This record gives sequence, structure tokens and C-alpha cells, in this order.
Amino acid sequence: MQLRWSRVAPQLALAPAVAVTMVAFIGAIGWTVWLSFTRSRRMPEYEIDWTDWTRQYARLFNDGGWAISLQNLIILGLGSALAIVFGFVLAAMIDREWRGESFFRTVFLYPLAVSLIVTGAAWRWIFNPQLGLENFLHGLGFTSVSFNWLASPDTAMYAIILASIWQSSGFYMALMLAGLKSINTEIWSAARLDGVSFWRLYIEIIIPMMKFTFITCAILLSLGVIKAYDVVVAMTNGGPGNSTWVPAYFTINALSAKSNIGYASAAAITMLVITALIFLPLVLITAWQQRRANGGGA
Amino acid sequence: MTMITQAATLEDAANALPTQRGPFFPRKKKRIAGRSIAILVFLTICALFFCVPLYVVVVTSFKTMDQIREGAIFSLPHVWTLEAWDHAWNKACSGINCNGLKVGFWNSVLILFPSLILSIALSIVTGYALALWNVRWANAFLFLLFICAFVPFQVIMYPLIRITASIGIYGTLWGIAAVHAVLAMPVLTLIFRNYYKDIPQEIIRAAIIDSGSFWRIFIEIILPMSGNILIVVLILQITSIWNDYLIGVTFGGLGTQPMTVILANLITVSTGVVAYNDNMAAALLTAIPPLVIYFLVGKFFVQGITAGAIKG
Amino acid sequence: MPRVSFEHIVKSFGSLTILNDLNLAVDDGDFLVLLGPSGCGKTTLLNLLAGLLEVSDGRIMIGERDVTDLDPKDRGLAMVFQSYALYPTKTVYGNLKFGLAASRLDRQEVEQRIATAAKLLQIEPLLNRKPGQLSGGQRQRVAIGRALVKQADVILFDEPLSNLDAKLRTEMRLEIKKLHDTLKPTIVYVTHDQIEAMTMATRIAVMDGGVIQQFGTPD
Repeated sequence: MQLRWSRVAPQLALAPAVAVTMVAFIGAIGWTVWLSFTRSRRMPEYEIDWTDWTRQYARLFNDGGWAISLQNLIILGLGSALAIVFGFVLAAMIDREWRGESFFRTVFLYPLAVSLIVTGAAWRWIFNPQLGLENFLHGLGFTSVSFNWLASPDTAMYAIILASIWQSSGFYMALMLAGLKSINTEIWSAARLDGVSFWRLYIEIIIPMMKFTFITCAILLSLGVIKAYDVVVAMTNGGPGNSTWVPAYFTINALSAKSNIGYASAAAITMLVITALIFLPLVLITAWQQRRANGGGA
Repeated sequence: MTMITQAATLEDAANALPTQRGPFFPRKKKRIAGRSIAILVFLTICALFFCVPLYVVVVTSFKTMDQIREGAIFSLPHVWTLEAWDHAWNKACSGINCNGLKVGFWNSVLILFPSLILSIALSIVTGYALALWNVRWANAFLFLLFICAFVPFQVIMYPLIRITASIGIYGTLWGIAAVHAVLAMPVLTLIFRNYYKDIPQEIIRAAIIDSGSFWRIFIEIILPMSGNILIVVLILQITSIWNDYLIGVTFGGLGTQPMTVILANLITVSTGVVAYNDNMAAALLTAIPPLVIYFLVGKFFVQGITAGAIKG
Repeated sequence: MPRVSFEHIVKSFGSLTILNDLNLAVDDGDFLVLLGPSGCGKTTLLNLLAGLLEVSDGRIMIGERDVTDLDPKDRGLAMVFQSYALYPTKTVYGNLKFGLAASRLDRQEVEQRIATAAKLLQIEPLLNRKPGQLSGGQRQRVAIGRALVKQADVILFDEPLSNLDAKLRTEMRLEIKKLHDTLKPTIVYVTHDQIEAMTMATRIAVMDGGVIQQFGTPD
């Protein structure tokens, strides 16, 4: 009696989660894939014209706005990667110098508590040409300095990158600190006795030992970059023109502003493919690294 | 075993005598190493970088528009006024409604409770079942959840809109709450599952022998042990829901938009005179609740964020 | 003249004093074992000698040099750690070489030292492997090898055998003793195991509560 009940009960308990997964995730993905092959515009159509079933994707790849979105995705990714470097540097310093550790960690992490809309609002204000930082610098005498990044299509993305770095460096710092603390203290002692220079120690020993942490950060960063939407809305709303469009923004724009369901679906599925292409190899590397690390020594 | 005989030398005899207190060799006053100072200076400069935006927002929110028009963004207010705060809270305009941020505040609060209950209830039971009970397809399901955690929202956005519309909750607070719960389920389930996986097998076996039932074990044994992880998950979810914009703007109707959406509408207005002090006050109002949580229970906060990250 | 001497060593951590006016001399070529239970201060004393901790008062001499204020790397010591502290991302060869990074020896000298140590410890076939691919006993030897290539006058051991099983421990005890007989370095060795002390040491200092209770030869 007991055995039978204990077979059924967990499966029953899992049923809601399974249902949600099947409907809201798997089913929804399938739905969107289907739609991406149709001609749906404001209203969904479920008939696929098999003579031209990739028309949405063809249109997508010829769309200048999409090309800009992809470009910005890469720019945002590379720029935001600085947050990982910055986070590592902060973590390394805090790890070395125990004084004030708790104070600095609190300061570096608080941006995570705040919405990206708030972050965008704050930085948008700072970038205000007449009344913001640029004006301040001019007032100090640096009249040739231009900090009006949001106004020009060439530099608007950099402003967004700066805001992203501000928001996320603390997070990577926290991950790096955890990674640093997992390094056996005797390694530090051995290095002191070996007389290894500061740089060599970090570059040849510590950073290689933290490969797993770095890759984890890279995965999280890429996922964050693909999802980037809020900060773009708050800082530029895609502008000037469409110079700060990113794939997430493009997709939502296609759905809400252009009311083109089929097109938006194609963009969304492409986003999914991009996510899979980034996510799969990185996760494989991580699993491989972890297996090696577990086989490794102290 | 053989005893160690004492081969006492005069020196060793001296060891046995009570010693006078130091200092025997006057030591140089310990200097704080140059490197330490350099590190602390660098860290302080970085801390400034992180604090400056907050400072600017705070300071601007207490100024009058006249002073803001003078353009000195870093200066303290000549006169500290709550004018902007009052305006933002009560009269700020989001689209055609000018009822202020307070509408959004209460919406955000009302979204929070059902969403928390739904998402945590669903995930904790699922995580418990997957971690501690033998279900043949558990690993496959786990892997599926792992994948789902990475799916971008845009991919399931339209179907979710249609589903919520057909149930009749689209545009309502319950709709927003439900979507949050659905989206959080994969990550939270993985977090709970990993936490419960660490419970020693003996406790589970003893519990099965004692009472055997799935639900009794959960309620009487597992749940009481979950205090720590529950706090961490709560903080993670509260922050995530409060700060969300995308779900709020997609599933929120005219009277049900959360605070972040109203804030975004406020600051992206490009026509007319921009009231920067209102905007900054609005930003602060939106940021204060999670910041308060952060400063009060920061340690759990960090755990939550990193737990949400390392779910693999 | 003693090879190593501790004079009036005082070590406190805040208000807790671990060592109070401790004096000890180690002769050249001695195999000194610091024996005692956990918390008796023996590892603290070893770390003070290594320079990993700073004394609160007192003086440490190595030979005729006052090393009390010197960095670990300037004291001319080598150390074998309890968990070996091998650099996991480097090969055995890389680990042995890294220890000589600070010394300005030419490549030939470096390679020769590594070859000698590898031969002595029978780890030649392992040179291209990484620590993760070695057994506990093999890692032990590499850790000792890393100390040997420095050709230091004083070698410190921090409970190096505690992570090995009983059989390996017996083997390694003999090996370390043999090394000492062959190369004759001055060794300061920390352990809580009486048998190790008795079989390897030329002199034993029994410590408890931060004080040397007994000091003498194994018989």
C-alpha cells in the first residue's frame, strides 16, 4: 500500500509543473515556430504556404533593422564583457586586502537591487548634454569634452554599455570572489615561498584555476545580453533612429508596434537559435571543465 | 612506547622558568604595506563610481526645476524640497493617466503576493519531488527545466498572451502574477531541487519509515528544514518581480501597470518640459523598496542572486 | 652555530597569545620534529619560520642572518605542505620549474636540478602529467621534489603524510628519512604522530599549549 502510494504521489505532485512546462514552454515554443512560417500579421493565421514557408526569415535577414540589432548584440556583448574583467579585478583586490571587505562588497553589489529602468533613468540623466555630466565637465574647463553619447547614433550604444557595466560588475565580482575563496590557501603560501611575482601568480596560476568561474560568467553574460531590453527602453527607446536596437527590442517592436505576428515570431525563434548556439558549447565546456576539475587535485 | 628522556641543556632549563614579558627585540612599528594602500585607494575610487549615480539621483530629486536648469548636476540642493517627490507620487503622467506613481506602487505590491505564492508553492513541491523521490523520468524533466530556464521570453510571449487572454486574466494583476510564476518556475525548481539534494539520505529513509507519505514528509520534515533557502528564494523573487519591466508592460492593462512601467513611461516622454526632478524622485521611489531589502538582509540577497545564477 | 634559532618568540593573535617567549635552536643537518596535538602551536611556529606569519616579538635566525623581517622568498627555505599545494593547471615539470621562477638561474641549471630531483624521487615518468592525474603518494613526491629543486639549506614539512593511507605513510617515512641521510638538509617537521617522530627525527620538541614541554633525542 505504502509503496504504491509513494509511487503515485510524487508523480501527481509533479503534474502541475509538467503541465506548465509542456504548455507554457514546449507548447509555446512550438506555437511560435509554427507562426514563424505563416503569413500572420495582426491576426494569426495557421496555414503555412509551403511554397514560401521561409518568407519571414528571408525578410528578416534582409531587414536593415535586424542587421543593426545583431551588430549591437555583439557590441553590447563585447562591451559588457568588461564587466567580467572589472568584476575579477575588484574581487582579486578585495580578496587580497581584507580591510573593508564587507563595506566594499555592499557598495559594489547594490546596483543589482535596482531595476534596469531605474539604472537607465539615472544614466540617461547623467548623459544629459545641457544639464548633466557634460555640462559639469565644461564648467570645470574641459570644454572640448563631449559626453553627449546618447544623442549620436555612433556613441549611443556605448552609453548603454556603460550603464550595463555599472549594473552588473558587482554580480560578477560576487561570483569571482566565491571562485577565489575556493582556491586552497596553501597555494598562496606556496607562491609566497616560491617568490612568484604578483602578475605571474595571477596570470599563470590563479586565473587558470578559475576557468570554470570565468566560463560561468561568460554564459550568464551572454544570456543577459540577449535578453537586454529594459535598459534600452529606459535610455534610448531604440534611438537615435534605430541605432540602439537589439534583438529583444526588435522582436517586441515587431509584435507591438508593427503588429506583425509572423515576423515577430521569426525574430523570436532566431533569438532562440542564437541563444542555443551560444549556450550549448559554453555549457559543454563547463561540464568538461568540471569533470576535469573534479578529477584534479587540491 | 619508549619514553623521551629529557636532555636538558641550560637553554632548555631556561625555557621552564617563568619569563619576563617583552619586548625582547623592539619591533619596527608595522607599516601598512604600500600595496595595501594602493588597493584601498583603487577600491575607493571604484566605490565612488558606483555611488555617483545614486548621489546624483538623490540630489536631483530634492531640487527645484529652477536650480536644475542652472545645470550643476553634482551640487547639493540650495533648498531641499519634497515638491518633486509629491508630484511624482501623486500626479505623474503615464500615458493619459496622471495619477502618479502611487498607482504603480500598489499594483506592484498586489502583483507580488499572488506571484510569490504561486511560484514558490509550485517550485518547492516540484523541487522536493525531483530531489528526494524516485521518479523514472525525473532526470529527463530536470534537463528539460534546465533548458527552459534559458529560453528568451520573446519566444513564448505571444502564446502566453493568447493563453492568458483566453482564460480571461490578460491585463489583470493575476495575469501578470501568473506569468511571473510560470517564468520563474524552472529556475526556482532547480534551486530547491539542488538544496534538497544535499539533505542526507538517512533522514529521508528514516522519514519514510516513520510516516511514509509524500505530503506528510514534506510538511512535517522538509518544510521546517527549508527556512534558509526560502528566505533566499523570497528575496530573489521579490527583487526580480518588483524590478521587472517587460512582463509588466506586456501583460499590464491600463490600471494594472506596475511601478517600473509607469516610471518608464514617465522618463521616456519627449514632448513638453521634462521635469527631471520628478523623474529622479520617481526613480528613487521605485528603487527604495528593493534597496531597503538589500541593506537589511544583504547577505541573503547575495546568496539569492548567485543561487539564481549557478543553477546547473 | 645553530642553523636555525628561535629567540624569545612571542606570537599573539589579538588578545590570544599562542607562543610566549619560546626559544629553540636547530643544529645544522638536524631532523627536528615538532610534535604535539592540534592547537599546540607547532604549525604556528613553522609558519613563523617560513615567514608566512609575522612574529609579535622575538627574533628568528637562519645561519648568521636575521630573517625576522624578511619575506618568505628571501629566507632561503623550502616547504612541503599538508595538501601538497601543487599548481593544478601546470604539469609536474611546470610545478618543479615554477619554484625556481624567482631565482635567476639559467635554463641549463634549472633543467639539471629538476632532472636530479626527479631521479631521486622516482617521478621521472610523471613529468608531463598534471597533479590531477597523480595518486596521493605521487603528489607527495612532487611536492617534495619542488622543495628539493630549490636546494635550500632548510626544508620545512607541515604534516605532509596525514593525507596518506597507513601503508603509504610507512613507505614515505622511510623515503624522507633516506633523503635526509643522503642530502643532509636541515629539516623542521611538524606532526602529531608519535611514530613518525620516533622513526625520523634526530631531535624532537614536544609542544603543548604553545610551550616546549620536552626537547631531546628519540631515545
